[in-house]
Amino acid sequence: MKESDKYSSTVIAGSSIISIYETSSFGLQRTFRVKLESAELGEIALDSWRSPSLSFTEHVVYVWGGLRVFRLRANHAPERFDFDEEISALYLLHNLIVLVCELSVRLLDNDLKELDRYTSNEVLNAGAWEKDILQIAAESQKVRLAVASDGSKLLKTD
Amino acid sequence: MNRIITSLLTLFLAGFLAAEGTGTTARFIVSDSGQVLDTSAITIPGPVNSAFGKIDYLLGNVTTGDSAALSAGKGGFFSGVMGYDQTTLGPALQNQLIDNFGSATINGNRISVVGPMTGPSGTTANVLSAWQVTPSGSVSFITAFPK
Repeated sequence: MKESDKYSSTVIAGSSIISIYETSSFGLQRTFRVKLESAELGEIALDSWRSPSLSFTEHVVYVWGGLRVFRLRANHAPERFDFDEEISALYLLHNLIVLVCELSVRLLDNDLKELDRYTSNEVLNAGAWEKDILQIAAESQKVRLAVASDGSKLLKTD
Repeated sequence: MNRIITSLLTLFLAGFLAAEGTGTTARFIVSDSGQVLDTSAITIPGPVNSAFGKIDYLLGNVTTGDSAALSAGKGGFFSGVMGYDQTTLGPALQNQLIDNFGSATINGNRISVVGPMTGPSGTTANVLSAWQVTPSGSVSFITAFPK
């Protein structure tokens, strides 16, 4: 791969500046380095055909693609979390994570342990939030989900 | 009682499959857990509520709408890495289900199989494919991804 073909991107949201750039490609893997402002957050690897997606707060960056999520923080080694479905979106709530996968929506705690799950027999898209409701377009319907006020489960709303 | 019926059905089908001879794919396949797949009922949906069908989705051909980003990722694998196209991917997915139905995971009307696929590019990868048994009895493809 030529240097000019390598992936590189900078994302700016509010005062957060995240840089991600490809460092190598070998077989069916390619690796990326991630920076949050001037802090090096580490190196991660994704399948070669995937581009990295990002979700982040002021101090934590999640890079995800395919079945993998990486949690990156300054002065911590990158943490890798594997899932059994392809990920469509990762939403960071106050102390919870909503992970939209291709055939399910999972409510996770901050350690990415699953608290609850909504399953579908139709492919789910990334969705969008309208106030506190996550609206996801499936193939024949729109799925509307909310997180219960105690943070313990997902509620399907109509 | 159910176990006996399942065993008898399995024995019957095993005999039926043996009697059918070889050379073509058997119509009925029995999983390790005794579930039966009618291979003539396997379908891969074309466009439904969209201009794109499942094969378009997997090949990265969906360029508009909510599925475009997901489709692009799928296409990178099924088209870019494996080398499938509109004519080769559908039969390959059907064969992947048939070849791996013996060890399928079945939850309600959802069937999931994991097994290798070798694409026209020569690359072999383990793939999970998900299917559902519809009310009409067809075994309809939902999605697939490298595992």
